[in-house]
Amino acid sequence: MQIKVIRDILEKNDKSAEHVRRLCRERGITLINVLGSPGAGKTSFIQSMLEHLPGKKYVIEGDIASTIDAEKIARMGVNVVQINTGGACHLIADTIYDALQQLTPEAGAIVFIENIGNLVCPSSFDLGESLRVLVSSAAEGDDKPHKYPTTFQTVDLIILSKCDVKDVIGFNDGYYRQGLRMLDLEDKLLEVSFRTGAGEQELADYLTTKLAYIKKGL
Amino acid sequence: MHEYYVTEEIIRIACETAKQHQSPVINRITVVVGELTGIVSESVEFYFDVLARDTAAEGAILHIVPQPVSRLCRHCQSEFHGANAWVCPECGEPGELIKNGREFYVESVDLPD
Ligand SMILES: Nc1nc2c(ncn2[C@@H]2O[C@H](COP(=O)(O)OP(=O)(O)OP(=O)(O)O)[C@@H](O)[C@H]2O)c(=O)[nH]1
Ligand SMILES: [Mg+2]
Ligand SMILES: [Zn+2]
Ligand SMILES: [Zn+2]
Repeated sequence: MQIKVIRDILEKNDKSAEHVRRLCRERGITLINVLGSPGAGKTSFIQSMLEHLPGKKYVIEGDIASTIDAEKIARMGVNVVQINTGGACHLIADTIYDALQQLTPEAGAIVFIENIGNLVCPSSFDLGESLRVLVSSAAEGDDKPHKYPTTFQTVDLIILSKCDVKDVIGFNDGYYRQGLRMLDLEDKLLEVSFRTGAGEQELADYLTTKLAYIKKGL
Repeated sequence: MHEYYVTEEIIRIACETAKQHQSPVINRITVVVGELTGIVSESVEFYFDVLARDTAAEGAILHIVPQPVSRLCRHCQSEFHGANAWVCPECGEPGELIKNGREFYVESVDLPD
C-alpha cells in the first residue's frame, strides 16, 4: 500500500522559523541573518553596523567551535549569545528561538545573527529573519556568483567586502558583476572596505532605509 | 553538507506516516531531491542504513528521485535545462526564474498490505 506523503524534508525547521518570525513581530525585533564563507568579513560587518546604526542592537554568534567572535562583540559592550554547533555546518531556527529567549531584546531592537562560515549550507535554513545578508569578500575571487549561484539567490543584500585588496587579488569587477547580472542581482550589491572604511557609511544608510521599510511591512 | 540532519528528518517523516497507519514496518520511502539543493544522494543512502536501525524504516528501500533544474525565461517564456545554464538559449536574456530544481520532499511511503 502506497501512502502519498508530500512533506517538505525541512518542514521542522520551517515551522520553528515561523515561531521565531512571530516572536520578532510581537516584540518589534528586526532579525538579520549574516551569511558568508569563513573569513569573508561577517564579524567585521556586524561590528561596523554596531557602530554605525542607531538604536539598541544585539548579536547571536554561530560558530562550530570557540567564543572568539562573541568575545569581540562583548568587548564592544553589546549583549551577545554564542551558539556552538559542534560540527554542524549551519544554524537552525530552534537554536535562534532559544537564543532570543536568552537575550530578551528590547522592543525596536536589531538582532544580528552571524551564521556558520559556509557559502553553501546556511542558505537552505530559514532562521525566521527579516533580512538575509551575504558578505562576499573580494579576497575570495571574482567567480563566486558564478560558482555559488544558489546561495547568492537567497539573499536580500550582497556586501562585497575587502574592496581594498582588489588590485592585489587581481579582482575583475566586470566578471563579478556579470555573474550577478546573470542572476538578476546586480542591484543588491554594495561595495565596502572594513579596513579603510570606504563605503561603510553608505552601507549603514542603506540598511537604515531598508530596515525602516521592513518595519512598515513593505 | 548536512545530509545527516536531512536523513534524520526523512526517517522521522516516514516513521510518523507509518505510525499513523499502524504499521510497524516500512517497505519503501520515496523522496524527491532537486539538483539545486546540493544534497548528495550517496551520503543520504549511507546515513540512512545507520540511522534507520531500530526504527520502522530499518530495511526499507530508500528511493531518491533526482529532479533536474529547469528554468523559464522571463522574457520569451521558453523553458530550458541544466544547473549552470543561466542564459536563455532562445533570446539570450539573463536572470531566468527557476521552475524546477529546488524540490525537497518525502513523496510517498510504501507499507505492507
Ligand atoms: N583588508 C581587509 N581586511 C578585512 C576586511 N574585512 C575584514 N577583514 C579582515 O579579514 C579577516 C576576517 O574577518 P572577519 O570579520 O573575522 O571574518 P568572518 O567572516 O567573521 O570570519 P569567520 O567568523 O572566521 O568565518 C580579519 O582579519 C579582518 O580584519 C576588509 O574590508 N579589508
Ligand atoms: Mg566571524
Ligand atoms: Zn551542510
Ligand atoms: Zn528567452
